[in-house]
Amino acid sequence: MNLKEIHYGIEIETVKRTREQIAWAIHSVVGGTVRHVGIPSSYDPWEIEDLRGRVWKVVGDASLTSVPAHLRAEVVSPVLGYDDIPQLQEAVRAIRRAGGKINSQCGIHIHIDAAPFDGRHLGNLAKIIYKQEPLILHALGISRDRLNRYTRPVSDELIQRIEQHRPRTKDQLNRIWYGYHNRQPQHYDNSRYHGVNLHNVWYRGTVEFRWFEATLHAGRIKAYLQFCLAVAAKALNGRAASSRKRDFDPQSAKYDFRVFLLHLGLIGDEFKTARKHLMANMPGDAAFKNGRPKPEEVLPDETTTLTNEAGQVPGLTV
Amino acid sequence: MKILIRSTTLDGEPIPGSGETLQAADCLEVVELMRGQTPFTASRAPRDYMTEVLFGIEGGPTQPLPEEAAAAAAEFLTRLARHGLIEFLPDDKASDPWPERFLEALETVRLSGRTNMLDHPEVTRLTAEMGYPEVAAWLADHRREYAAFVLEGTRPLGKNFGDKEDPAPCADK
Repeated sequence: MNLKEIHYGIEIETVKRTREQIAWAIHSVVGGTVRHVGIPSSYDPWEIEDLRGRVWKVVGDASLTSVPAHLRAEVVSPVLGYDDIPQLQEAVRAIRRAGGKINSQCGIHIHIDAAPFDGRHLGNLAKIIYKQEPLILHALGISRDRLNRYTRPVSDELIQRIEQHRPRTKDQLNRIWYGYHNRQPQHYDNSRYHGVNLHNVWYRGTVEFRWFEATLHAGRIKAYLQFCLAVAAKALNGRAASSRKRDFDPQSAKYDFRVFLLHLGLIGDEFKTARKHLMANMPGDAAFKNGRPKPEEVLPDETTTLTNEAGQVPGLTV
Repeated sequence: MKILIRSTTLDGEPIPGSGETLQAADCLEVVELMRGQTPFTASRAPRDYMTEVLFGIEGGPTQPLPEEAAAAAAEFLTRLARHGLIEFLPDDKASDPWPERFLEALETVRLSGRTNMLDHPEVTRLTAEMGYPEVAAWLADHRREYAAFVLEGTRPLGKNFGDKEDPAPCADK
């Protein structure tokens, strides 16, 4: 399955502007009608039904405690396709123009449609992430606080259980994820606070990526989306995946991560900006595993002067 | 619906905050207005016009528009907005929705000193009592707009706060 065929959704948290103002900013890009739903009042939702009948939402977010309640907003996109990325980027730019900001509490969650995945694919996904996690976490520049609380890494135990039981179906993986067969997952299940949240597979039908620090930089958001789609496509297309954890080596990190991105299919001009944004935090050299070699000092060579039979120098040295 | 058609640079890049507005009942009528702007485009069939515009922006071959005319017009506008070439604006009705005697009614209530102006239910009741039933009816349905008016003044409601220039574009377009 090509990464361009996978559906996704995104949640972006913002501060400094009211939900109404954010809703009108999105409307300026997607058109249609804006409606204040208002119920439930705790989420105080605004809805924008775009020209294609898709509904964008702007809701309250209680986790943004550093600003007054009326200035907390979480943009929830409808289900989007790869071709919608430019429009999503325009919407992000419109929010920024309208004065929307982010702070350290804000985050971005990306949801990938879990319908094409079975237990084996999801196992592949967990193993791919587990293997490359030291690089990924460094590349995304996740704060220690977020890492400890909301985006915990893939656990060793989960990978061991996947390796041991080799799940084929989502139900088999459900038992591995929860430790029992959870038929009725609840929203606020504690297991959701992982960078790759498989709890959402059974709760909402999506794989949720929770790594990202918030940004209103359209290019970075595009890079995050392309990265998640590429990882998902790799998991879907691979027969199996290795879970041998890769060590983080500062000297080769940039090179290793670039190779990883290229293996994911993020090759060529189309993904140039994705590679640029994703590798910006990495130490090392993108082109040389062991660092760019320093130009060697030119030592004076011993030269031999050739002379012809007549003893004349012909002007050639070797 | 109301749109802003942004002016572009010679390279076809939209210039934020520039352009002219068009208003019509729906997407089809907006496209008709766009098409009628020059004699060259007015003579084209609507579908040909939309296809040619998209070809000029996206290069060929472009993704075909839906068969149905209204859906094709909506898709056309969506794709223009995707490239930042148009911006959807709030309708006039939504941008300045209060009734004719709105300011007069609120001033009367304020001068009476009988309530805190942030007390929305009481202000609504008093405007009705003081002879402004249409303002009271509007206030009952527009609690949020009233709050915005009290806190932020007579700005056109529902408009974006574009008080800063768009930051310099990044490497990603």
